[in-house]
Amino acid sequence: MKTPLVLTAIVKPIQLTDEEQKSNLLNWITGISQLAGIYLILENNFTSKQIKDALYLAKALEFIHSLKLNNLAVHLGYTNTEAFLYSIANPDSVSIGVYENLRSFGIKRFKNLEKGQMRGPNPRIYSGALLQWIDYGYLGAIQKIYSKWGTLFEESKYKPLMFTPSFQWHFQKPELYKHSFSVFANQITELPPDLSTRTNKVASLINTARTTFNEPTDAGIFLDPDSDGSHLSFWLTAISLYKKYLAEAGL
Amino acid sequence: MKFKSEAEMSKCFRNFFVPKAKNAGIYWVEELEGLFGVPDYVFLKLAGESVLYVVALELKLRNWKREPRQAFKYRNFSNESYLVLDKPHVAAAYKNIDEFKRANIGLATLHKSGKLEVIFVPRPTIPFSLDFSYRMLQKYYKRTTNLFPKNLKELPSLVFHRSLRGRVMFQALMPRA
Repeated sequence: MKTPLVLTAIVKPIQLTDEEQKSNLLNWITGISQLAGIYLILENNFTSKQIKDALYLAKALEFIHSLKLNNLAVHLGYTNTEAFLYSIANPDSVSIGVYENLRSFGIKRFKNLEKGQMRGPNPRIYSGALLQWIDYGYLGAIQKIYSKWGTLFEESKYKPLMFTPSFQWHFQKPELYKHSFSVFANQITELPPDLSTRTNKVASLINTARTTFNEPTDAGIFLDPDSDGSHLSFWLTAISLYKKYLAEAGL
Repeated sequence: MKFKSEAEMSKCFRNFFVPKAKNAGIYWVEELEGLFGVPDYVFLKLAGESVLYVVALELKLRNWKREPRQAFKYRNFSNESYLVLDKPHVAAAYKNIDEFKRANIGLATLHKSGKLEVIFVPRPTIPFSLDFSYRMLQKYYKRTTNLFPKNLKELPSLVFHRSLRGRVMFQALMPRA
């Protein structure tokens, strides 16, 4: 039996958003007859921790969908929380990195490594209810101001340790990531297999996350743009754009 | 007259405010890095082993919209946190004073003459995070070792207060508009 051939493709944002470049890339990929699938890595040049570009996200969904239409297996790599959103285009697998720099692929990470001192990111904790990684610097405020703070962070066997006063927060602490994988796996498992139902479910969870952000915000917690829910409206718009694309294509 | 840069604003603040703080026995440190954000100034009222009161300040020419978020972070280790704007730019922030109230962040203005006016005084609170409070103090002592030859390992025995006495001393320095 022949081993299926899977091609790794690193796709730049312009190759998703520019129709001509997208067509050229799709033509090239689909022109390789032996291919069984694509290990798709979407280059992420965004400055924010979450992707806040609805058009880009919609085009990424369209791209995944186009590959699937051509009977190619799609394995998405280097994703962050948006993996949840990408699931509506029915990729065969989605891999999520552990550290921040493994949850978004950027060429810049491989450049200028010798220049200056590299600084680790602030540690963050994943909240499934908020679909966001919250900077640990806000945990004190959240715990002091928002009485229902426990509902924001789902239970996992790692959570109690993270919330002990002696826990030394550092981005390399494995509990942060084991907790996120545990919570995220539960969220992914709950997604329905039917694509239309799944899309509605994902949209509903994003909407719920937006609403969930309101209470701590109204209580007086001022989160910065990398910890707040500002990405969620872009994700909802991306779903609408993707639905429109499917409708126009008669799919 | 507007400040030309934040550096000029900071210099003005240092020249006019810091000597008054010193006279009141309040210690200060500028640009304290390695916390949650980098406060432009942190003022501390200490009494022996105890921290009586901490006020953090963020100086900005404008762009109030982002800065209350920045000043909010300093509540991790301070009893009061303020955004200090260049006086000619305060109108936009004043229109949204409710945001400052909701975040419990003080709003003040600095005039080129050196006059500091407080527009909104926040409620004094215990810092959100003991961890950040100790870290701030460690960094403060590290920066000022000449004044405070202190064994950093002893810091966990220090006590953080929300002292009325500490607050009164700050209020005398920061007149309401």
